[in-house]
Amino acid sequence: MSSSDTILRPEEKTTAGPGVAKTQSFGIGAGIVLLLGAVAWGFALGDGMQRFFHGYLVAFTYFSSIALGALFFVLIMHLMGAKWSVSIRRIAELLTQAFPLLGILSAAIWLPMMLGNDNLYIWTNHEFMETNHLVHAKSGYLNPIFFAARQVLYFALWIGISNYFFKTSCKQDEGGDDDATRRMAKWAAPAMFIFAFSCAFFAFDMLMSIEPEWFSTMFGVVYFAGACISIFALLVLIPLALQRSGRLVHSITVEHYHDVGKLLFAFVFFWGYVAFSQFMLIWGANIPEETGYFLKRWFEGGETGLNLGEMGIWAKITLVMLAMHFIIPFLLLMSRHSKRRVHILAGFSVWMLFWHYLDLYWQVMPALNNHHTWGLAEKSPVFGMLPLDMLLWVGMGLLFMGTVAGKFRKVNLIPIKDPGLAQSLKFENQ
Amino acid sequence: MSSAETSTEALEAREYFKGISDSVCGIVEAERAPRIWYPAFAAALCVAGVLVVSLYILLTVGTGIWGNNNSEAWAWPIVNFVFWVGIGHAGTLISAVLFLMRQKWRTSINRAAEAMTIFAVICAGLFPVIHTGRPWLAYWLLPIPNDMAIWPQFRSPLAWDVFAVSTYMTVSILFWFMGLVPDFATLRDRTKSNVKHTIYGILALGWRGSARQWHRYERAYLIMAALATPLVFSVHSVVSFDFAVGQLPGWHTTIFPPYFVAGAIFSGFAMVLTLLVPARAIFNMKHIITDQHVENMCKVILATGSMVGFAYGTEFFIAWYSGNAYEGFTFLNRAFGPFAWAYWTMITCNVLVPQFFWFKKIRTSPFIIVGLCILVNVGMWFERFVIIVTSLTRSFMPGSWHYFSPTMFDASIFIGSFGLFFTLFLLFLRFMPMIAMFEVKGASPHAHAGVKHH
Amino acid sequence: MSHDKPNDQVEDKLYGLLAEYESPGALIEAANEVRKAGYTKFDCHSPFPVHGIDPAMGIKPTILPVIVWAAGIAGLGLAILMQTWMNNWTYPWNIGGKPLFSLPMQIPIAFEVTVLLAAFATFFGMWGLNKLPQLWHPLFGNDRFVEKAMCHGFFVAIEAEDPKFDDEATKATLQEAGATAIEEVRYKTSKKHRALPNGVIAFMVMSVCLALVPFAYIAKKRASKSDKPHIHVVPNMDFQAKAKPQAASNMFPDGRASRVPVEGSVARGELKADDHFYRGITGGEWATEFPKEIALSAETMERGQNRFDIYCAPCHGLNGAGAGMINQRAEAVGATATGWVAPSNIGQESFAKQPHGQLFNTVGHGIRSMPGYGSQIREADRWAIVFYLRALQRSAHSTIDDVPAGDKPAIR
Repeated sequence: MSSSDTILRPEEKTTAGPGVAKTQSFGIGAGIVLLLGAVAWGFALGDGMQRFFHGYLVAFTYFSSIALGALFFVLIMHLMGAKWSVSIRRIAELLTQAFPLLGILSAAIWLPMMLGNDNLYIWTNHEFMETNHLVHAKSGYLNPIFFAARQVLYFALWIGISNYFFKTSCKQDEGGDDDATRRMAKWAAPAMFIFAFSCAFFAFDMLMSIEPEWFSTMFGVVYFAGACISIFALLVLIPLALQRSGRLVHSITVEHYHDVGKLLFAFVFFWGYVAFSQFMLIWGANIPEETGYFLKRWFEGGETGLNLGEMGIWAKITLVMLAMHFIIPFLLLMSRHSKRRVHILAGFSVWMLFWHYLDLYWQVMPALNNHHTWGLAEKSPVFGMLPLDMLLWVGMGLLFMGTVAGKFRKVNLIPIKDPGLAQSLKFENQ
Repeated sequence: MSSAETSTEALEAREYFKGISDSVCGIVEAERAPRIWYPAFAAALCVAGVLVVSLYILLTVGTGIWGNNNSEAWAWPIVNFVFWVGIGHAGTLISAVLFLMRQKWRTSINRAAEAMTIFAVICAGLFPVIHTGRPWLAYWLLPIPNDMAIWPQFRSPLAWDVFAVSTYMTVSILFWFMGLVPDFATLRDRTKSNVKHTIYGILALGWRGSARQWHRYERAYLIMAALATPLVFSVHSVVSFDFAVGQLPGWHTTIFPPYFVAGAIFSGFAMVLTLLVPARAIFNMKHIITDQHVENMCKVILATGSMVGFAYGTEFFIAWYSGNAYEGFTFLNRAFGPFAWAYWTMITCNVLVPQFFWFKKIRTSPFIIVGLCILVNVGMWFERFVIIVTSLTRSFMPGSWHYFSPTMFDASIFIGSFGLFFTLFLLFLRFMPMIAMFEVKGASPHAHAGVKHH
Repeated sequence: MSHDKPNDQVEDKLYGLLAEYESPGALIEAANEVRKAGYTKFDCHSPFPVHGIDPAMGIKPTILPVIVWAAGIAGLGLAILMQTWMNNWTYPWNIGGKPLFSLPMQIPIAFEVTVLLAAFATFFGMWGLNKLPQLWHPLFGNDRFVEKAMCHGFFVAIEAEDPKFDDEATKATLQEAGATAIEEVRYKTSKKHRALPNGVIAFMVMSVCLALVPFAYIAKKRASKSDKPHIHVVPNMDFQAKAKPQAASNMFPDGRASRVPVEGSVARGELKADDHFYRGITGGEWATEFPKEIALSAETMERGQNRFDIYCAPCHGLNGAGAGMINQRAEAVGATATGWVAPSNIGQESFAKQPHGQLFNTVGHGIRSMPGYGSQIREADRWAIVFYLRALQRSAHSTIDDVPAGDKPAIR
């Protein structure tokens, strides 16, 4: 199939409408205001920004997971030469354009650390490192300079990779160069290799090292599963929003939604599989250095056992997550009907985006009082400052949305000259 | 389109369909197999004979003929078990996962790959059964009411293994048979012999290709694929639990389930290529199993090999990062201890060898492909060897440290299992349709001949 | 493959009309036409599933997924119930300290059984809904159908039983839809023509009978007695070339396999001739000196303390006053009322007066309700404990003057 101009219907609108510009200015403006407000609030708490940083870390890893999921989607689709996804690939490409923003936002984690603020990761605290031999043995890896260097490296790699695929694809829009598709498929392979390692180590650095004594080889895979869930949820929601504003009305059909729905379902299952394997292996082996992580997320603030009345808040959240993040979407998304009714699918996408946030919250927040446990800080109530966490989440979300919307303005929303587009447009599930 | 054009298109399509039936059924219907089949079958039968003799000695003398001992209780039998189960993963993966992902190229290879799966699982099942020491009591593994009123221990991953492998075997056979039925019907209607007509007639269950039946059949095939996909993942995950639930350094690591699954797919695809690249040359199937299909499989091997490499790297890093002295020692011991030769064989074959598949030239030269695939399977055998043997010979108690040496019978039973595998596979090639005819027809562009686009 | 006999008088009945079409596309259109014409009892036949034919024929989605769902849920419940029943209720057995009901450990099997039952439901449900196996069918008597339908032909068959069926009109409909050939399909109504050949039936009956033989044999053997020794599957394991304890043997005059050691034999390392070191006795009295093997050094003292804390402290307490964890618990649960003898206070006067040898003997052999620790603690360590006991006894009667001048402020 040659790439001709007649593939798309003539009435199809492939560029973003005026709403996007508004989203951009509103998102960036409101986002910056809210984030500055959060900084002020965090500063006003007088706890050395400890509370602020924890909430910030959750929000930051959340939006990073979206961009990483988008990058994964772009790479895997090039790698497999998939045709069905061509009409939604540009949206994922646009989402990867958030990496420069995220790179800047990541500085808020490593810069204070290098300037001596030790309130986020306990391993940045000298006193702790001198007394805790187990963690001290890791100081070759867990030290602020190396940590910052790694973050810079990850983001440099991600920005480089995502720019290559985005720019090459956009250039194809103009010239219709079929060879570009072949080149992108070729470079997707080494890029995927880099992605695999950098994504896993990003998760080790940002999230796993919040409990520096704990370790799990599966951890990177669990984070990756969450990243995939969030991108597939967004690949339902963003096209739906665009179609509502009259864009891509004919190019994205229920068949595409159905396939994205299948992938969302598959990764809900995959998340359950890896998260369960991680838990079950640690529960079964019952080795003290590993179980601490789960014990803290089960017994904190409550009694043992399964009596609901005596359970701590984290145990309840764990059970709720099991149901909401896995069992319910797994059972309900299994049916073909729920994947083909776009509004039901959109509902589940919002649902998964919310529970993905809680998943990260569940990973980070129980570590909030690590400093307190070691006598290095006052005890901080986990849920007392929930509004601050929400403010950070919403603020960063608006900023993320505004930045990405800015990219939406400039290019076609669909790779109009991709040789696989024709097949994508008439693709049908059997 | 004018009607004349339609007729030509339809005629071409019908000829294509008939051509598929002729070339695939031709193998089964031929009086004689290709000449090379006979020496190959004789050789396979001889090696299977080695297995029979070794098993006889094993049963009459006892498991003392192996190199296994107190601390190295698992050794080769379990290495071989995991090796064969791993190989048995490609078949169902090709039939189910690639089906769900609409990879149409699978249709040319799925039948043979499924057969390979079943034979590999048979070989795999052999090892834990003989490893029990008293295989005639192997049914004790199943939850059967008994005089002693005892039941299996379901908190043990070894009991899970029994369920996982037997479920996998059963579902693979059902899936395989389901795919064979329409092809048996084709054979039934072509044969001139009464005996064959009766046999194929019974096997075809009276299939008559009705659209109402196809409708349910396709639905069932889709459901089977949807069930088999998580099943494939679960089986090797459960096999990995055998190790990972324990506390032995080098065994207890949370990434094991996906890492084992990737390794299984890796070795399974390598085995499929090892078998099919020669088979398609011998049986003249190059127009059905095309170079593109072979290339795709090479790419899968490259991808899964890299995933395995990723897991090796993660494991090594976390072994250091954990700060656990035993864990760190285990990995250093693997790389630089007495079994370093096995470890570096594994790394070379599993991580470096597949990297050759980056080059199109290599992906299109059959001899190199087969050579590399054999190396991959050597590497995957050594992976299990490294995991089992290095961890057990350097367990927590230095008093039980030793160097493991296999005996002649370890080797003869392992080699013999290849004889069993190849005997079954060669019989399959000769007497069953090695390519899913109806699927190849349905996946070809000719299947849309005469369909008007609205 | 039944062969008609010439005198076989059976009715030759019309099954319906069979029309061939040239391509999958033509088949879809024909199906559409036939459905529009109002036929309900008709079917299309093709060598592979033709996509787009379901709506053309008006086929409703199958109920199969519902059956599979039900079977899957049943499998899940069954597996959880089975594991709980077997490991919790009828055979509760503590393994590795895991709870009897270990849900995480039940998940793998629950998953496998769910898949297994769902797969059975898919497989058997599909054949059942398709009414297969049905080895006989009128269409198999049609040569054109047999030659092409499973290979490269596309057919529509309309049954004569269809209420709208009318030979001529139906033919016309099929013809208009583009048929390349139309034939009438007839079949013999006698049951004989549908039956399996006798040979096949005989083969099946025989296979079933033969398959039952081993089970019948096992059942018979289980229920009957035999004089013969049972079969030894692994003779090397069953007959080992060694004499077992308490077994008879023809080799020796007394007929016993076990031999009495030669008079005066002592096992290696068990001579223990030194009464002082091994028994704490010198010249028939309790030794008052430490044996020469025991260095009265700080190391020995530390070793003694270490052993004391492991073996003695649980009852006697770390300071030897008799308030160890076990005693505390015994008092807490009221064991004193049922005969619990409290451990002695090691520091008391009477013990302090005992010679070293007597204390050594008590550690090794026990006294009153205290068991002997000789099997757990080697002699040198027992002496080290005695050495440490002396220190404890000394400390029990210590005064402030015993504390070195430099440390006095710290304990004030």
